[in-house]
Amino acid sequence: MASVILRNLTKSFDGAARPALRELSLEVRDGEFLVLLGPSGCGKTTALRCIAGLDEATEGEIHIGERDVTRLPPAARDVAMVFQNYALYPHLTVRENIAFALEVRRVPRKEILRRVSEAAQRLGLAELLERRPAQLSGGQRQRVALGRAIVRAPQAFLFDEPLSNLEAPLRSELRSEILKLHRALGATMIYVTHDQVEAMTMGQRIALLYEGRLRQLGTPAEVYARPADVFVARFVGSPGMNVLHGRGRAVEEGGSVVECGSLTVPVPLEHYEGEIELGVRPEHVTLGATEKGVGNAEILIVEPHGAETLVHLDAGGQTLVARLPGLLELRVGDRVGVKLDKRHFHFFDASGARLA
Amino acid sequence: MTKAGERLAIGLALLATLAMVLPFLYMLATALTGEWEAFRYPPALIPARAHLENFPAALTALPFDRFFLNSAILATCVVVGQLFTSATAAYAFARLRFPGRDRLFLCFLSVLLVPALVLLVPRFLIVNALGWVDSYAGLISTELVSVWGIFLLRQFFRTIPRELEDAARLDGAGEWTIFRRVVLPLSKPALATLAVVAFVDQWKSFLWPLVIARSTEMQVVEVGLANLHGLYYANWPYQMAAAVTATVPLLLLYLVAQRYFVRGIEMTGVT
Amino acid sequence: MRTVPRWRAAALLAAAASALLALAVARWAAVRYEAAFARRSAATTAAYLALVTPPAPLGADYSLQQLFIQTRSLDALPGWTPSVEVYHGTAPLLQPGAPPLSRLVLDRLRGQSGASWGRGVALAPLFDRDRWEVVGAVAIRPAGIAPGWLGGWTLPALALFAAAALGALRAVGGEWERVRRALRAYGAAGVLFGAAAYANVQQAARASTDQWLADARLLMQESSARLPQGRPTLADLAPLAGGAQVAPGDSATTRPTRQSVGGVPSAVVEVRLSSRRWVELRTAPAEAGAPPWLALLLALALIGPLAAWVAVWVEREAARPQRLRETAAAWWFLAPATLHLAVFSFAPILLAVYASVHRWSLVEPERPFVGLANFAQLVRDPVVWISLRNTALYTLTVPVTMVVALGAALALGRRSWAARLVRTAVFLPFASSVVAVALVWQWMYHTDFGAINWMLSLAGVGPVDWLGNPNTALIALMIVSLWVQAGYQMTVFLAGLQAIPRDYLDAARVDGAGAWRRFRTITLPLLKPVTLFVFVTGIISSFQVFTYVYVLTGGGPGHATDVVAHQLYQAAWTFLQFGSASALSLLLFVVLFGATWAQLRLLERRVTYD
Repeated sequence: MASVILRNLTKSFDGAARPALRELSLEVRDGEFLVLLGPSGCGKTTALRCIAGLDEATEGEIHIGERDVTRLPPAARDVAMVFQNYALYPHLTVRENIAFALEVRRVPRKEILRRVSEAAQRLGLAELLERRPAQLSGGQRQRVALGRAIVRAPQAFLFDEPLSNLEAPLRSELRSEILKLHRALGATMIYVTHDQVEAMTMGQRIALLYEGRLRQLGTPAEVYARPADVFVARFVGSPGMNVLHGRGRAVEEGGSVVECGSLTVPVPLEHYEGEIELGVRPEHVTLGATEKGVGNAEILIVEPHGAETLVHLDAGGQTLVARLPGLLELRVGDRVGVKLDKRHFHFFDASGARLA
Repeated sequence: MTKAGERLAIGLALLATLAMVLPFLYMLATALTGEWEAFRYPPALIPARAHLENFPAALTALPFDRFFLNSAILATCVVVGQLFTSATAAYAFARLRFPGRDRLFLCFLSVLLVPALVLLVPRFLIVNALGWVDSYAGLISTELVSVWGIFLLRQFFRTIPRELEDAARLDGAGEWTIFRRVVLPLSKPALATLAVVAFVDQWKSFLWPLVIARSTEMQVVEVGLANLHGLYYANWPYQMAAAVTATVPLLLLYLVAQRYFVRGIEMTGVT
Repeated sequence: MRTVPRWRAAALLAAAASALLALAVARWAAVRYEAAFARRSAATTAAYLALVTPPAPLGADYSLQQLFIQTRSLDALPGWTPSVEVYHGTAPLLQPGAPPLSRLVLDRLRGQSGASWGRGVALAPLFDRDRWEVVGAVAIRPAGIAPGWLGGWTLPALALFAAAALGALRAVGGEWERVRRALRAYGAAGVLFGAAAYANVQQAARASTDQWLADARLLMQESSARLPQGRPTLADLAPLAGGAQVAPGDSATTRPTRQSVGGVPSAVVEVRLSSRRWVELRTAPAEAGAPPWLALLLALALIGPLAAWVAVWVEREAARPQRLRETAAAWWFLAPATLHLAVFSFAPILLAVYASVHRWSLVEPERPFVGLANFAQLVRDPVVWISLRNTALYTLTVPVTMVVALGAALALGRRSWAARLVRTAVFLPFASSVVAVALVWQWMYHTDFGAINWMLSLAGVGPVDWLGNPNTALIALMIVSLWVQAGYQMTVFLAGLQAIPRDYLDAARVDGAGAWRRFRTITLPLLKPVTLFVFVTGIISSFQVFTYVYVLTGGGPGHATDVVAHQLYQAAWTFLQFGSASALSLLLFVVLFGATWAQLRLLERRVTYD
């Protein structure tokens, strides 16, 4: 087990207009479960492949444990990877698949036998050892892929969206399986996903990537409660945070108001003037009579979810979502008053960076 | 389709089958006919008695056992050689990144611009300069690489998912291990196709063995058959007996491996 | 990354080695030509002395005094260039103080027929008048007919080469555009340097021929002056000529010239024996054999630029060791196929070009350059034209077979067991031995007892001498070809038909299109690439038809079925004219180029599409 450290990692592909990764610096602590989160094309898989050595970093350094592995081939880095589409060798049985890495490394036969059966036991694959991948279900295949990784006892585990080819119920089952493995092995794990539910439920820390840059690194709670910028705010949470674009104006009685669309929101900022992004999560938006609150909005869509109802609103060109408890009788097209919980405001400047 | 059209199609198909099969039956029938019985008019499709003795007689008139051995050695060596050279080159072209790859591949393909007949004379001069005329080395060496085989396997290798290689690379495998233990086992159908096509091509090849093999001991079946034709010009039963024997291995291979034959042909002509 | 200076040092070393090797090889080649001249000249001088020196009173040996006189006059001959020494026995005649020849050397001369070369001196045995016993030797030291190490343009070219090398190595690791320019300049300088070195070799080769012709001419004229009237005869002069030809001449050019004699380039000089007697001395010009040196010298001169290029590349890639590793692995994987193609595909093409401009036979050691004579001979040969016409006619089987094969494919595309059986049957001929097929057809074509004539007789058609009649022989061959190729082409068409989505045809059916219309407007256009492929490969293979012709007709009757492949086979292996056969190969290459080009394009399209 070891830490994984990235320093100013930059990766440009030949012929690509923009680098896939830009000066990514990140430290994954020994034994940590870190999730690389971001929309597709954000560079998270590239980062993972650079750590694995499958892609060569253009600039920067990668350390695993004490070693600088930047220029080492994948085989010498001692990391294991689990792929999205399993990447099991179709011509080998489950046993041979799991044993492959050990055989290639000329581990003694007895040792291989012992470690393979141990891994199979741990993952409940003992019955399936003589089957071939084509005879397995998707969940079983991904379990074999996990077995192939843990049998090597590598310095770090890399997961490249391992669950996205599975159906929802299986996904949550395997999710807890992976977490169980993490606890049992105490291993360093780096997990790439675009699914924020996976990220929030699995990660000890989340690294959010967008357009090849690291946007925020923190625990799920930190990322949710204090997003570093507009992108993170909108990306995390479902639905994401409402970010209203407006103008700040100082008022005589002290403090400021933000005018955005049909809303005029008093905010606890001292004499703020100029453009500002005001963020508020849907659960901190409530509705009331038209003359109450910070202004009026028109109801665009009503999404009843059972325990809660999502209401999409149009406030003079600015759209926002309210998450309200229970099933509500609301009519599309009605005007309602909007109330915002000012204890949970987030402010971002015009470039999207968090203010204070 | 109308009933009449259907019937016409069936009739034509039957006729075509007959036209294709009859010469073979005629070959077999004549092979079983007595030497003078063959010159009977009208010709009889079924001989009065099966003259099986034609076969040993024809096959010992020239050392056909040696010819078969030579053909088998030639075809087998070429199959093994082409499988090796095509697979290795195709792997590099399909899977490895190196500067000038596409240009080199076009360079390889450009060999197809040169018809085999054009290479005949200069290849002979080179083999002659190497002192390989009338030897297995001369017979085999020029055939060990097939650009078509490289092309075929390259196309196939590209369909193998890259993740498999990535996984093997992380598992600690070098390029050769990936090639040997992952790519090759997954390419069995393509390799079998190439093997069958190469084997048949070599078994049927005539001109190159004709100019390279000078002594009787080095001759292959096809050339031996042509020589028998020259020696026993008027003895058709002998010639047909030898012809039947020469064809049997190929027909057996065809019937067993028809799938690969057809795939090989399809791959030459169609995506 | 610490390895980079090492690579640069290696490149510097390679640059020096490249220059020095090229110089050394050029010098070595020049000295070889010089030696060739000296050996030949020594042999001619020995023959001259044997001709003009009167014998001693007893035996076949020469009178020492006479030999001495002849030798002295030889040294004083106006226009005579090389320094010469004549030994009688082992004793030097011209410089009595010089060390004598060792007995060993003389004994060795006895054992060999021609002149030997060593330590800058050529030694030829001096035979007695009976041409039996070696009584002495003639030594010739060539007087610098080859340019020196740095003669000609070599010195300036070398300076340029060295400057370009330093420039390239200094540019390594710099801005890419500059590096590329420097490398290109280095390469160009390499070519220039190689060419300059070759110019010296070429000049030495030319000089060695010219000098020998001039010396031989002098000696022949001198012998004519020293011998009584009416002599020497052409037979007397033959030993002086060595391997060259002596023929009656008529013109008065006394300088060696290059002429084409019977299509073969020759070096020629006219010799005046008396006021009305001229003979012509002809020999193969040495420089005709020089071009291989050009290839070698260019290759050596380009080692430097190549090494610099590798150094540049490694330098660039050192930051990406994985790419370097992958490139190295790729070349290991490619090595077998690449080497094989180089030796057995690319080299043969060059060799074919080389052989086509030479007279090349396996039995004659001489392979003189003949220019385009082989091609001229081909073009003038009516049989070549007949074979071309026959081949062109033979390719008409391709479209006919295609129609049959496409029809069969359309009829047999269904998935019934009967269709599968018929498909198997139709493919049989292609999957069987070619010669066996040829033989059974020959038997069926038999005029008196063949099955075909018997069937025709049932229809009342008289016996046809299929293979013996010039009007039917080619058609008979074409029928065999159709029978064999139909199955193959059908299989390709079937695959093409299966690749056509059924939806198109169903849609057309819904639109009310009839079977013929569906075929015309949907199947045929979609099948176009396959059709093109079958056509092009069919043309290529039928242009090379050989086995059927060889077995069934041997090209006869009277060239009625002679095809290009058969002509080529005969030129090479019946008449052993490999030069002429190579010329025919190239002609075939040109004729087929359009078709092979189309084939390559079809493949390429598949390469770029996937």
